Amino acid sequence: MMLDFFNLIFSVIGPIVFGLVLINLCFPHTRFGRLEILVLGYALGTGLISGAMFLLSLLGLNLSIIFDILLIGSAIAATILIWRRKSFGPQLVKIKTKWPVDKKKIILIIILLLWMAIQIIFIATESWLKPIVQYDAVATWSLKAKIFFTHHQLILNSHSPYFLGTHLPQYPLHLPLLETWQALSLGRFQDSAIKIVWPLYYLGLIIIFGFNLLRHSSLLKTIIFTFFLGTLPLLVYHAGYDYADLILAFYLLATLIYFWRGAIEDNHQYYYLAGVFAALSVWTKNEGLFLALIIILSWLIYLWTRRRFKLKLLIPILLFIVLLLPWLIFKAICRLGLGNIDSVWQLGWHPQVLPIIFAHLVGTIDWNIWWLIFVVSLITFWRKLWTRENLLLFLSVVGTLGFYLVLYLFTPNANYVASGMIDQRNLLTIAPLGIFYVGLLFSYNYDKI
Amino acid sequence: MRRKIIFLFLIAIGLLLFRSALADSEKFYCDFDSHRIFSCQKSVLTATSQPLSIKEKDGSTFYITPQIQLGLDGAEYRFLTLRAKAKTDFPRFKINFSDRAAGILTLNNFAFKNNNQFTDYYFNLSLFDQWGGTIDRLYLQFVPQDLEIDSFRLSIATPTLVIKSLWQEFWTERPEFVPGINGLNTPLLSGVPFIKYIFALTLIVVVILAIFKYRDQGLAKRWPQILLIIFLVSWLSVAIRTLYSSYLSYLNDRSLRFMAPSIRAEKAVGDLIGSPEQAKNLYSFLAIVKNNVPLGATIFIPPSDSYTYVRLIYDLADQYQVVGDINKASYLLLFEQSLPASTQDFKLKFSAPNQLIYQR
Repeated sequence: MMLDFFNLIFSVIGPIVFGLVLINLCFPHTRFGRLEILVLGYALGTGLISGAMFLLSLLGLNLSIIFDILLIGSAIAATILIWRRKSFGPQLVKIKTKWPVDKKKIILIIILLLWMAIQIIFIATESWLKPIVQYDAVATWSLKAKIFFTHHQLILNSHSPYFLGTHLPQYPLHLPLLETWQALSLGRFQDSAIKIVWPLYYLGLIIIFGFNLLRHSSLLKTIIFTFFLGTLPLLVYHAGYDYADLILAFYLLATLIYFWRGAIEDNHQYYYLAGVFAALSVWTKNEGLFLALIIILSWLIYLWTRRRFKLKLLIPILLFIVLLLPWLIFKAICRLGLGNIDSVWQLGWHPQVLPIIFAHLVGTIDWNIWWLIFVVSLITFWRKLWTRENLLLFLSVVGTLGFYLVLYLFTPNANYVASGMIDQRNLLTIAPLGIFYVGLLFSYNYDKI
Repeated sequence: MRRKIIFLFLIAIGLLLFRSALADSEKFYCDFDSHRIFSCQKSVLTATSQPLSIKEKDGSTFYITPQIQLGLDGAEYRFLTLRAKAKTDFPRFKINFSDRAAGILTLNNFAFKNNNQFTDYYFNLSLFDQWGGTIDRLYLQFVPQDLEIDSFRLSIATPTLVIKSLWQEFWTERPEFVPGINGLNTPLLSGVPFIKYIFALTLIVVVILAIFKYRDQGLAKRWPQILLIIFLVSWLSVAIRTLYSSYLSYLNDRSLRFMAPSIRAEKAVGDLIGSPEQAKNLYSFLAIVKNNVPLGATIFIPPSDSYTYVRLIYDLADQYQVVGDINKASYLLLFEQSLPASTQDFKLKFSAPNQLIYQR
């Protein structure tokens, strides 16, 4: 039992160490909060580990050897971190914020923080007390991990019945490999222990959201909007189960936030970081490709309108492409498509989805009153929506929403909307972007850009 | 002074709308009262009012809604909870409902538990294609005389709006997802209709503030803050439900104690998986197995060469000894090394598809 505990801790610390080394070496001229950098370390580290597992598997290594390599790698990474602890690249900063003078506001902040803390505890118990049972979670992600773990390899032979974990082989491998990593660390496939990943990403999402909003907003407003995000019913639900949407939401939010921060602080290294997160969002789910491209396009439009466009700024895009290249080439060779329906490109007109989507969006069960807040806020601040300061966020939020709308209105995905299968979970991936945007609209004190 | 009047006016409008929201959100909440008389209360605010109708029993037909038009949206209200006591097993059971098409649901595989005590039965009606439209009346047919119904509840089934799949049927039956169970039947917590009034309230406030924006600059400057307060209060009123659901879920999960090998074996659930094509039931089944079978128990699986079968093996093999015709996956039996000393046999039963019921 104790050994299990240490193994579980290692399965989390390992990626953080890898991620911190990566940040230290590649993005030294950045500034992060202490919690924020841990979250970023974990998010980057998991991507690095799953990517390494995939690439080394392509070389024919089995997972036992790959695990040993990663184990040694994490020891080296930890050594590097200890060695460079005094000259650690990114600057660790404490965000300056003032507690409100008004006692009522202080009490409100404390209540909201306590509420979130209780919610997080419940999510953790939800995750830890149950095995993986939801169909999509099992069939699409966990089953693959079990098959990889059992076979001790990725099964890249397309003639095998277990090719890439059997079910939906065209889906990206970040999550199955991350679960495999958890199982390899534990030495066995224990559902409940493997599910630790989801509460961690949930916590990470809240932390990067809060830390970055706090830089431009008051403490109370930040807490309120972080509370909106943290208690979004659908997000809470996903945090306790094993769907990929929460993790995609994390990477998309990180992509947008660090593009935006790069723009605000005029620091190119944030752009590079955002480029990596954009690649990781594609490595998590197929639709991440389109969503990440929309955010990148929004960023390019922003740069163009600000007349800041330079060739050097193509580096994040190159990073995005280079990191994804092995996976995309592999998919092309194995003729793996993008979606889970073959007829995705058979265009049609499906206006019948609109009332269904509307009915879903106004359901408090899944969204509380988020979409109402979103619409009312856009109406309220209509003059500020696409000011130059807000342009990047506005284009990203509207672009991603528009992408899904086009997908539902013009492709056979409309059938999945009608059956209530996809629109909610898809919108969950971009809801945090909207909350961040509205949070900033409510906060007037921008730094001058 | 004028500002105070405006604020009082807004508060009055808010309270009126809030009250109507409370009333309307309970409008369709139908239940038997403690005397097993069916009542359809218009709202909690009129909870002391007389029942609108009483149950009717006519031969084998058991009317469970009164002769009024309920006007329920079948797509929304699709979760039926029936608390009943039976003295014999009944192989057939029909839920009839009248809408424009006078639909009928037949649960061929359903059987009441013959234990002479009130038991809760859960029906996810959305699994039937026939369910839908505007539901005006409900009644059961072919119900024998000695069936005693304690309560009947038709409610919204919530997270299935998100991921509407049959695999969810097990989990959506959890009490926390069914407003009205476990005393959680206050209108604030009961769901969707409330949104309309929050929406209306917020829009009215925004419009009024917009009108006054040009008359009262002081108020206008503060309106984002006022809006944020409205948002927060509205959000909190719904977030209570999320938190409470999490709490109930925690209680439920804690009782399962998946990580401990000492779960007491209960009666086999079985009768859940049909043909391999019915894989949609597989994960409900898995959840039930994992709820009821002690870790390390031996599970016998009938021979099959299907893809579903392989998945079943994979999914059970990490926590159980799986025995069957397992050529392809027999090595998986060694998955869990540390089995409890007293393993218990557990035989799976395979039967017809579309089984909807399980018994807690």
